[in-house]
Amino acid sequence: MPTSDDLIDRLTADLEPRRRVSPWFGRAMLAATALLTVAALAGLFGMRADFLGGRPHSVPLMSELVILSAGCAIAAALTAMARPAVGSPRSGWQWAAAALAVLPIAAVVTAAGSAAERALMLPPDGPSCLLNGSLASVASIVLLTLWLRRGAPTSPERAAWMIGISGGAVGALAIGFICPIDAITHIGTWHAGIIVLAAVASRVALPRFLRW
Amino acid sequence: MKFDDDSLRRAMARALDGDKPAYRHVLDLSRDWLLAYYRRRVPPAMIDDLVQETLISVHSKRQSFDPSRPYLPWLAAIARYRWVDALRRMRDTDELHPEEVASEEDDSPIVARLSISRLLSHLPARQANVIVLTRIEGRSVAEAAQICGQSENLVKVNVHRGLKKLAALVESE
Repeated sequence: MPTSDDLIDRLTADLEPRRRVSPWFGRAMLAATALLTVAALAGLFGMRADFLGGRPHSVPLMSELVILSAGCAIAAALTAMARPAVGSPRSGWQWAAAALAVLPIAAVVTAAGSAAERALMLPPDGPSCLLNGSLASVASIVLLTLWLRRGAPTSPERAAWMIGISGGAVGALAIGFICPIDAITHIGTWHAGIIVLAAVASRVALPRFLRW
Repeated sequence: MKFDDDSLRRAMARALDGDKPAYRHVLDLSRDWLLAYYRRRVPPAMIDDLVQETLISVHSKRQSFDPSRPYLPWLAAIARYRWVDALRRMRDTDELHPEEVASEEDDSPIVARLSISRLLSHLPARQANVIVLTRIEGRSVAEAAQICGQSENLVKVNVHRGLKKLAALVESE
């Protein structure tokens, strides 16, 4: 290896102006991708009539708001990871991720008291939501991964979890606009399952692409 | 040496716009800061390589610096990432040899050893002991197994798990 003086000479000679990584740009791109994903699914499968008519049913609406708010919080923390700094607080995203657990917890509690509700946790309706929602997550996951590679995430594993949860939240949010089932047992199992699946898949597949 | 973060921040902001003298100033001071940073954390044999690897990372990831925020916490985050990376590499290689640790005449080995000891105190004794024996004192796996009363396979497993935990510890600090 050359001396550090040689290296500094070389790096200085190599310097060119570079556009700075902006978390807000990453957030804006994710928001645009989420809108396109919702529009694509709505175009393919048709949006729920109650959402379309501006009179949404309470359970799907609450679920969408939980997913949206937690997803935004995690995406904000994720995009901030592009600009590292020792001393910055980093645990907020975990609380947002924990907030998403409200959905499966509500599903389990509800299912415990009703056989009819319990039936909605099983196929046949759920797998199509899980599949379509997971596919709908892919664009956001790919975009976040490519964008974050421009930055300097110092924990690739944590970044991979967060990309998966954010992307999964986009998929779950989009599927919530088209799925006709109102039951929390269905939403808390299959829609929340999209987020879990996306998070686990991202944790397994993405760290190698995020290392630098 | 004193590092004026505000002047470094301003110089790095100019460097992002292509100002080469400002960039050279930033890299020179960053090297001095990194030398001090790694002297407290790793054995002398690893310092030069880590400083140069970190300077290369500073260069390749300079777009991630936010000129509205201090420079040194950003540099420290990159240095810590490279340190964690070095710890991970140690899991699979024999980068630490006793003769290299003892070859320097300054107090860096002692300081580095103290820093490593502080980290090792977070590990179970069975893992910490075999890491000290094989990766710091440079003994063979067979010797470490004999000293600790563990099988050779168990020594390897404990070294691997211990270094993995150390990397996670440093990352979370």
